[in-house]
Amino acid sequence: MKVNHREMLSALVDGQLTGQELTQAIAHINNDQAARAEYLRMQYASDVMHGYTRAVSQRPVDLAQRLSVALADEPVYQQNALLAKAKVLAFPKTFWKQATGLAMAASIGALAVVGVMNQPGYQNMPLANAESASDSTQLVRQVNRWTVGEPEVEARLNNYLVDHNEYAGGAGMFSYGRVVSYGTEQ
Amino acid sequence: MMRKVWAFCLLLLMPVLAWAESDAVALLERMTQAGKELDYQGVFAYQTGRTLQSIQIFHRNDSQGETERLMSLNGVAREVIRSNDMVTCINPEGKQINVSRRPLGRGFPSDLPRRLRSAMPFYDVVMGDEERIAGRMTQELAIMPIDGYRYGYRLWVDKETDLLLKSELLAENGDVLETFAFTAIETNVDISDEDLKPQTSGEEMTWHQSEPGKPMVSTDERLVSNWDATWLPEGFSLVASQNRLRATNGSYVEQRVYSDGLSSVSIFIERIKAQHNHLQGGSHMGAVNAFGTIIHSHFVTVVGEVPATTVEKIGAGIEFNLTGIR
Repeated sequence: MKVNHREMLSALVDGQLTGQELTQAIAHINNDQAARAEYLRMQYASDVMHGYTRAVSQRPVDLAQRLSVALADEPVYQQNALLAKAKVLAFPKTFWKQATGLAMAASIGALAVVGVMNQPGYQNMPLANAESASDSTQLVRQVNRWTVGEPEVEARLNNYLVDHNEYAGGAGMFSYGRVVSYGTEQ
Repeated sequence: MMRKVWAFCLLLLMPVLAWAESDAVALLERMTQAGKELDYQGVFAYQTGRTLQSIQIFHRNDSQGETERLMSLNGVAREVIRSNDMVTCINPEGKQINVSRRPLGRGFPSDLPRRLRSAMPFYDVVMGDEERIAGRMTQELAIMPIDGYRYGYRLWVDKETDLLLKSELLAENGDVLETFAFTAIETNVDISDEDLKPQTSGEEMTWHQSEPGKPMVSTDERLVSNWDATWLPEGFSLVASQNRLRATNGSYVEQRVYSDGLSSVSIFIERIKAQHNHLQGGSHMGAVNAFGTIIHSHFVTVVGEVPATTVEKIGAGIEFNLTGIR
């Protein structure tokens, strides 16, 4: 494959071609099997470099976005959920004796942590005082908006929501109520 | 012998079932027409999860066509104004006004009876009891899907005017995902021009306008039109497609709408012009689910009032058909 052909494919992948150049590039990849394979390789490499892959099982690992989405989706619970977890972590005292022995050899910092947790009265730490007056776990806040992190993504989804509403079947005349009440907090 | 008895009973019941179905289709048809043709004003509640919002609606149909204004009554006074060919969304909080042209044919194809009848094999329809909603007697209609790829509906239709007065969207387990219900409604009222004007003046607001795209004839546009949805729930087919220019980033956005006649999903395909963030995976807003991915330098997003599994499976099956490029 000639160098200028490779540059042309590269420009096609980058979306820099228009008009006659674009027509030529498309004709080239349709007529030349090697060029077509090269184009697909370049396109795939570009997608990977941008963190994009098409398979659901190969989603890019954007931890910050995933965390923000997961947190936005996660109901906020009262303290009694934390209390339940604390009880699970309350191992028998013999365990802590062994752990203390290991910690002495390993790390003073770790020893300090284990020591504090093994103090008499640890089970009565102020955690219980922080417990909500309510017995049941309560949902504290829920927002009626897309569970995404970036405003740019949210704005794009909102545009799509408006365009899709023209075809929303069941809700019929009510469907634009979703748009009007967008972002309502409770 | 028992089998013969069952077959005989089924034979006797068939006309009754067919009658119930045609009755339901007729009611749905009248309901949709009433929503478009009547003049009305009222307040309805929209509830999803623990979020509750009151919304005022004015709807007028005259020789100029349909015009409608919805305004949020709690919190920020968001407004949506729909006219024959435009949808204007006003967000005073973000100081933004978004104007987009409505698609040709205004939404679903006009052959409503055929569309609704085509949906019936995928739902069990039951006429329910009469119930009083917003001071009016209604006929309840329960529409339950045959599989987990679509939601169910319970609709309450005004017996006098055929207007939809209450609607519930139901999950597979019967949980109510979303409720719209009129708390007050007046029909056969004069809706003035003033009622249909936005409350917000529009000063100091940023305007965004989407224009309809050019006809899909040039070669570069073929790049964004050669898309296949290789998996769809049974009964879904392509019902509409349009291409429009998004003013905010100068990109053409292709929208392909698939429907079983009642539920629908839109697939949006947008050429990436620069490095932008995009939805990767699933998100939801109330009962509307979305799934985003990127294929061959295009943002591909599936949006619909269907379960998350449905938008994800449709999204995972979308293919860019390179062989279609000529």
